[in-house]
Amino acid sequence: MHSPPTTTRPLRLRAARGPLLALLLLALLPTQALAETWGIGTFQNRGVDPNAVATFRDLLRDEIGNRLGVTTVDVPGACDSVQCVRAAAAGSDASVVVHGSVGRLGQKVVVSVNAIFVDDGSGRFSQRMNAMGVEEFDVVAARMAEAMVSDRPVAETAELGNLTDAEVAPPKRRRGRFGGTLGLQGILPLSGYADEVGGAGIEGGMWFETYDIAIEPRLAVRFDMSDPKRDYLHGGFELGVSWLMSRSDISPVLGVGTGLHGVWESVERSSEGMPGFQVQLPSHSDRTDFALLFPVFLRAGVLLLRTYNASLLLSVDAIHSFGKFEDRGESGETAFRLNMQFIFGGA
Amino acid sequence: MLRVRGAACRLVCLMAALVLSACEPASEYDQDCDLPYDGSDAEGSWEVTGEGTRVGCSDPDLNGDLTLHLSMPLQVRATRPGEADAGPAPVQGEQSEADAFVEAIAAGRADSAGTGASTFDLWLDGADGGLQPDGFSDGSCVDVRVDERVGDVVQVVHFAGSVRRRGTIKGTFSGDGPGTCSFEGEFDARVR
Repeated sequence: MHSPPTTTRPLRLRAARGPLLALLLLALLPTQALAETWGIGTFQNRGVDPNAVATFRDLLRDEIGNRLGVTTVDVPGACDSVQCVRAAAAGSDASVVVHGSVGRLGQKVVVSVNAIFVDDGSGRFSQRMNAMGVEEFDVVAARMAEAMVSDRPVAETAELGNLTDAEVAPPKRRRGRFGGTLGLQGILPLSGYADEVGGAGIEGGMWFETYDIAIEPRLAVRFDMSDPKRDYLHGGFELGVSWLMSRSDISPVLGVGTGLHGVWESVERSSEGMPGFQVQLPSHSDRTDFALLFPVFLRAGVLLLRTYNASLLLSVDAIHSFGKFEDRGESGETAFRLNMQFIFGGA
Repeated sequence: MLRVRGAACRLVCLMAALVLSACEPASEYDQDCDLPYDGSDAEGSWEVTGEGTRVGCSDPDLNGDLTLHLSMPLQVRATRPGEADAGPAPVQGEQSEADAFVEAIAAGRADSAGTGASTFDLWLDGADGGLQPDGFSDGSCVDVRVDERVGDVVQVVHFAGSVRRRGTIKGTFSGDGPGTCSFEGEFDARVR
C-alpha cells in the first residue's frame, strides 16, 4: 500500500508558524510603544498670571493627547527659538514639540501656539487666537488642538459651545461713564406755581458721560413748601444734555433740556370788600387745576470730583413750562431751580 | 274699543308728563309783581344780604364765590311818579294794631297791580344827583340801582326783587365793577 507523503503538510505548518507567531506577538505588544510622542515645551509669559499660563499648557497637553492620540511628554527649558526647542527635545522621544506664548494686550489675551518637527525644525502648526480673559483658556486649548487635528485655521473650528466672547460679542463701541443720579432741588417761581409759591423737589435718573458731553434722563417730583392755601404737585420726566467744559476734577457745565410734566395746582383766592363802598362784595374760592406742561430749561453749573466714580453737580436752571390751566385761564410757568445732584457709579 | 281707550290713556299720560317736566317750581327769588304789596312796602331801611359769583376780573383774587352785605343800610323812599322826593323815609316799626286794615289796603292794591296804579319811584338817601329816581316799583316788584364811585373805582349793583311779605324783599342782584368784574346772585332784604 502506498501511503501518502507526510512531509508536505508538516512543512507548510512549520513555514507558517514564524509569521503567525510574529503577528501574535505584535497583537499582544502595548500599542503605546508604537504611538507618536509629542513634546510640550514652554510658553513664554507676557503679563499673564503664571498659574493661568501653566493651566493653559496642561489643558493643551490634554487636548493634544486626546484628539491626536499621541503620547505627550514635557520638554523643559525656556526657549525663544526653534534651535533652542530642538535642542531641548533632543533627549526625549518627541518627534514634534509644541511651544508658544501667552501675552496680555489691553483687555484681551493673545495665545500663540507653534508645533515643529524635531528632526529638521520645520513647522507643523502655527496659529494665534485671542481670548477676552484667562477664563477662556479651556476653549482656546480645545480649538487649537482641533485645528492641529483637522489642519484648518483655528477660526474655522468654531462651534456652538466653544466660542470665545470676542467671537460672540457684537462689534464694540467706545465706553463712557454710565451711572445714576439722585438730587434735591429748590424752586423759586417767577410766574405760575400756584401764584409763585416756593417749593422743593426730589429727582432720580441716569447719567451717561463722555469726555465732553453728558446726557441725563430723570424723573422728578416737585411740591410747594410755603403756603397752606396754595398747593401744587408736579411730576414728570426730563432729559438734559450738558457740555462739560473741563476734564479735570472741577468742570463748569452748560446744558439744555426738555421734558413733560403733569401738574396739579390748587389756589385759594379771597378778597375783602372795598373800603368806602356801601355795597360790600367779599369773595372766596378754591381753584384746582390739572395740566400737562411742556418744559424747556437752560442749565449752568459746576461738576465736582469729575475724575472719581462719585461726583457732585451743583447747578441753576432757568425753566419755562408751556401749557394752559383751563380753569384759571393761566398759561405757562417760569421759575429758577437750584439743583444739587449726587452722581454715582460708572467706570 | 278697549284698544282705543288704552291708546288714549297712554297719550294723555305722555302729554301730562311732558307738561309737568317743563314746569319748574317757582323760586322765591323770581320776581312776582302780583303779590298784595307795592312800592310803599319797600320804603324804609334796607338791610341786605346775599350770595353770588364774580367773574372776569383782571385781579384773580376777585373772581369766585362772593357774599353781599351792606356797610350801612340803604335808606329807600317811595313816591308816586311825578311827585318830588318828600324827605327821609319813615322808619317802619313793629306791626301796627290795624294790621287787618293794612292788609286790606294791600289786597286792594293787588287788584290794580300792573295797571300803573301801584307804581312808585324809589329814591336812595345819599345817592348822587337826586334828580332821577334810583329805582321803581310795579306792583310788588321792586327795582333799585346803586351806583357807587370811590376815587377811580366804580361799582354798580342792580337789585331786582319782590316784596314777599311786609318787611321782606327777595330777589336777584347783578352788576359790574371794579374794573372788568361782573357779578350776579340772590339777595334777601329786611325792610325796617
